[in-house]
Amino acid sequence: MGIKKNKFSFCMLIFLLFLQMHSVLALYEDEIGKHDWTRQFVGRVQHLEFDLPAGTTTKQRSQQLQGGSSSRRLFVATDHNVLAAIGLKSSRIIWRHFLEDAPVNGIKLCDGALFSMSNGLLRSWSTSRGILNYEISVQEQLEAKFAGTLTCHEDPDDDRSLVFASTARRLVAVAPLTGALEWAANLDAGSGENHSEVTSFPNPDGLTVVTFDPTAGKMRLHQFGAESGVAKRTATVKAEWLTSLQRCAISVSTLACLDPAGSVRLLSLSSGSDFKPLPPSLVEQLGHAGPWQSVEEIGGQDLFQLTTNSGAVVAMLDASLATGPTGESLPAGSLLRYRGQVRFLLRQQGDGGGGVTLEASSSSSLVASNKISLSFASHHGRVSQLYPVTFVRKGGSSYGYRVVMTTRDADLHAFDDTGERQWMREESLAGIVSVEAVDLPSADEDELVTPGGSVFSSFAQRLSGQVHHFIHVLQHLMLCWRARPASQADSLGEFGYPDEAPAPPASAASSSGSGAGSLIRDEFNLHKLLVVATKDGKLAALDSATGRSVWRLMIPMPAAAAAAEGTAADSARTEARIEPLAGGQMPLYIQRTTAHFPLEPMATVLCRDSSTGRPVLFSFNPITGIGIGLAQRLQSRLLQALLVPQPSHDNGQYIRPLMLLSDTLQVTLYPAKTALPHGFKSLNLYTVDRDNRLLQGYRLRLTEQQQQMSAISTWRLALHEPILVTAARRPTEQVHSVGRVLGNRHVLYKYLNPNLLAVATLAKDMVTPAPQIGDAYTQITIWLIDTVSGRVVASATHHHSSGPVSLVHSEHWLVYSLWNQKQRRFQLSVWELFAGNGLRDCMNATQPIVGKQSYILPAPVQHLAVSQTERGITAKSVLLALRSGGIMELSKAFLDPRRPFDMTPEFQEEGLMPYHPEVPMSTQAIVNYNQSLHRVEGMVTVPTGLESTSLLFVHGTDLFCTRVQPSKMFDVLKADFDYAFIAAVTIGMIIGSFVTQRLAARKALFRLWS
Amino acid sequence: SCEAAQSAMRNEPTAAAAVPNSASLAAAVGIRRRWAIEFSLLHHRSPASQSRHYDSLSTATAQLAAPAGYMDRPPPLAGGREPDGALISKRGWDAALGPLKQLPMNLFIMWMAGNSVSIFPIMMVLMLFMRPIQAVFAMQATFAQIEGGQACLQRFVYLIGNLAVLALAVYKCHTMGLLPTYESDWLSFVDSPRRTEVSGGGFLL
Repeated sequence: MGIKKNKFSFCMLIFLLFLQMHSVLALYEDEIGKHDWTRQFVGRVQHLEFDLPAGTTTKQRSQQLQGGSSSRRLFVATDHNVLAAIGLKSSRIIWRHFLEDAPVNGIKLCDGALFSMSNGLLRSWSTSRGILNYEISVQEQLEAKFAGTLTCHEDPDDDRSLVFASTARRLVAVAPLTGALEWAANLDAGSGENHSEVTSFPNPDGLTVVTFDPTAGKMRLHQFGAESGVAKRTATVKAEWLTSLQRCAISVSTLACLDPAGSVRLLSLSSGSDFKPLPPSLVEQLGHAGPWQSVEEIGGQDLFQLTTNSGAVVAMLDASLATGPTGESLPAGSLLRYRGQVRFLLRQQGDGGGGVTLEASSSSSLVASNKISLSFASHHGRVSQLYPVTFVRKGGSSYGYRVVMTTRDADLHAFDDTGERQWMREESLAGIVSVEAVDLPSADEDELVTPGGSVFSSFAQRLSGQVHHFIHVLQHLMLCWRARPASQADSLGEFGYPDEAPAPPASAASSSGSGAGSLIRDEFNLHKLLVVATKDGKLAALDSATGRSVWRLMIPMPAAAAAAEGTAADSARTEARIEPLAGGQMPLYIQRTTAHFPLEPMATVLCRDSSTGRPVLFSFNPITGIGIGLAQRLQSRLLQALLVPQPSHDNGQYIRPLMLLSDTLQVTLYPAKTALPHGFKSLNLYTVDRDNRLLQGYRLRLTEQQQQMSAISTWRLALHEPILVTAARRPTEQVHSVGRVLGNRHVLYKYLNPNLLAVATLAKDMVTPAPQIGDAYTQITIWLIDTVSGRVVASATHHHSSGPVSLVHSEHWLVYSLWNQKQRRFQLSVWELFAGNGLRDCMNATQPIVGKQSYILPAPVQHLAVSQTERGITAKSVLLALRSGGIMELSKAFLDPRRPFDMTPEFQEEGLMPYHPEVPMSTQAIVNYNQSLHRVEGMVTVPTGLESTSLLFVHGTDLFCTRVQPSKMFDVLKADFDYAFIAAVTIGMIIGSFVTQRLAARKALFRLWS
Repeated sequence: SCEAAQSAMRNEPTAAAAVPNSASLAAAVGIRRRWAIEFSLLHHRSPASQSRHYDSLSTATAQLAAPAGYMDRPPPLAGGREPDGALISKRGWDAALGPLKQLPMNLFIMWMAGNSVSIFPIMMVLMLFMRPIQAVFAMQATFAQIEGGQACLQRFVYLIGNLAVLALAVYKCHTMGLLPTYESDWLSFVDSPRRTEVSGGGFLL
């Protein structure tokens, strides 16, 4: 009995312990989200499906809808190859999957499950939890291109539905529920042609598949019934003029394609064997003859939308060229979509921001026809895609609709049928290209006075600075007071933040409403503004403490110059937009910091105008997000740009000039009126040419007058191998100690050349014999190049190695990761460069002593970064973004080429660890604990006012920001420091010393008397 | 017992003279014989010659020989005596060689203390530093005692001895690694080299 009772209580104890499980899922649970924040995104939406079907379909569906309206969600596939479910009400990510690095060809909801097609694989997902039901390989052998198409065939008569998934060579029909293969058909049928593109569309009794061979210019049509894999009709059509199926749109019975001249050619899928031009009667009716910019299918029944170069939109109805085409002309910037019987027409004026109206009209009385206006902020740009959906309202008597749309900046918006925005997801932040951290303006007056002035000028400067400060504070207070009633409405309309961001404090909403009022630097300068530029040409500032967007701004298009007019024909093809420069670069330059108070800070972004390909410069205030002047289009292409390290003090503007090197080796400064600071005798620039595998160095000669500046090419280095990545030391990096102390108390001096560039190249491995199976090995070569002289300082080759290579160079060392093909593992290598033992040697050392060591990394790594502190005293940490989603902080002490194999007391004295081939990976070193970060594109570390602390900002599909302390917090007392105890002890000691002094004096007096 | 008292009386000024102190010297000068008992007269007295005795009292003293150890004069004051040159020189050497004599002892203590930088060895090293420094500061007072022909040499030896102790302390600091004698100790004062060339760039824009 007693044993039984014991057992019972033991079981109860275990049960109670399990109940407490949630509270111990993390170390220091109270610190989660205290110093860090995460924002999760999906990327630019490319395919979207609603989990509620179009309002007028089968009975079964509407019943299902009425039953489960609480779980309304939308499924998206994005350019980050993410498949996700987003709550239609909450905008929250319900589940999210990162698919392999291949574009998602399409997603479809079929029979209650979600299907996706990518990389030649058909996958079925459970809609509620995102669990993978099954996966079918559509392709039989590996195809080079990941073309694919996905359709769902639903037979209205019987409940049997089929999923058709097709690559360019093979079509499969799958029963959606079971995943059983119904039939399969080969599309190329041994023709020997290389069909690499495919598109398909369901027709009433089956499917039409069109494959295309762009090299031969041949197109083949296949029409299949639902019941068997024997094609009902196959036809080959010649289309040499067509470059890609991307310029075509397919509907039930018509294929409409654009030829290079921009005119539309139509092909009847049921009977036609050749393309026909648009009938003249229709052209007359439309009032536009072309050239057309794009053609889109907009909702079944052979409805196409054609867009002309002037931006006008035309909807065209065409029933296989037999029943007589009809067309309708629409104003510029319109989007037309059909959902069943309901027609949605979105009109927008100008370049976005100028009022968007949506008209919903229906031929039946299902949806009340109405016209609503949607409010947008201008920084979103135009609406680029419109996804409407209709649904049965709760009572079941009436129908409503929702509209989800993407704008040019990739943000995702949802509106209801009253025109009220329900939510907005800042998906533009998933495409961050460059990041710069800006110190917030200081409330401290020390920085008002510039050094080096006379007493009176300093005094005057200080007085005027104080007055400016006072006026600024007054203005801010006024603004706050005025914005108070409006801020609530504003925060709903404009700043309806996604829910997964941390809950906004009350002050944050008002601060974002009234500009950058509350953005004052904190005591340790830990609070910064992260200015980011996205690949869609958008600028934004994120608060480093909360992750909230403080301001957002679309880079404006520069005014059309006379030179741009000449290329009007080019701009006709595509809509002119701002895009990153070659290689996805979009550098940000902080030209004036916040330290010069009455002058506002200034940042400049360098990007490209997609229509002309000319570089565009745009300056703005990084704190408020207000543009400074207009965007400037440069007349010539740029080779490279360099921000001069010091501001010029000449005209009291404190602007660091941006030096632009054009392809004709002309050098200009931006802003044009700034002068170079004194003391610069020469400036060097280098360019890395990926295409030509060439490194080139230039030297800028500065004449006394600085009227004309020119560059001369000083060195060229042809590497003859594809260049993978490069890494250079950060120009602002501080080095505290110039040497390393050895165990015998001598010094090994570091080779501190600030102009080193590390380059990784890939080549075929000629040494290691090829493996039995698979391709021959490759090798990675790491070069260390002095960018002033072009000299190769050091180099090393890793045989049987391949990318991904990630490089990081700091102080006197270089750390990189690569894949060892032979051992099949990731490796981490470190180089340290030393100048020698004597100080005199190191001053004029030309050839460093290079120590190298490699380690096994037990996990795949995507990116490397290094922590940065203000004075460089703190030990460094290497930050590794692991493929598993963790960010690991690894002390540099583990990566040290001096780690000995045999330990001696001298090495022990130096604090070296014995060499161990494996890098230790502890879960406590993961700085983002359980907040996995996927598709990390870059990591930025920023020094703060605390020497021990540096900020880490990780961007990619997810954003993450935290504080990193490589040597722990040595300069700040711990949070649990016992102030009261220390104070009591100190005061007690002081009082005690006074009392004992008195007592001693009295005793001495008594002794004298006695 | 009277002999003992007398000898005590004689000894007192001698002891005072041995101390070269002006105050005790003055005290010794102030001491005079206050009383004396004439034992010889009591011995030789007879009843018949009582009256004669009293009559011839003054002549009897002249006739009788003084007993052994008796001195008619008051005991001499020692302060008045001339100092012994050899003794002074010996004492001088004692003072001068003091620090040098302590040196082996200090060596042993320091060897025992070890080379670890912790509180007790540090305290010992500090003491080792303090003593010669204090001695050097109090050198004037010490040198005032040392007289004689070899005073110069003795002072010099005294100084050398203290310096030797100081050197021992410095050596101890060195073995403990507390002396900034290596390059690494001055590393934080070495400025990082100034950047003479500015270079920047990247991939082609």
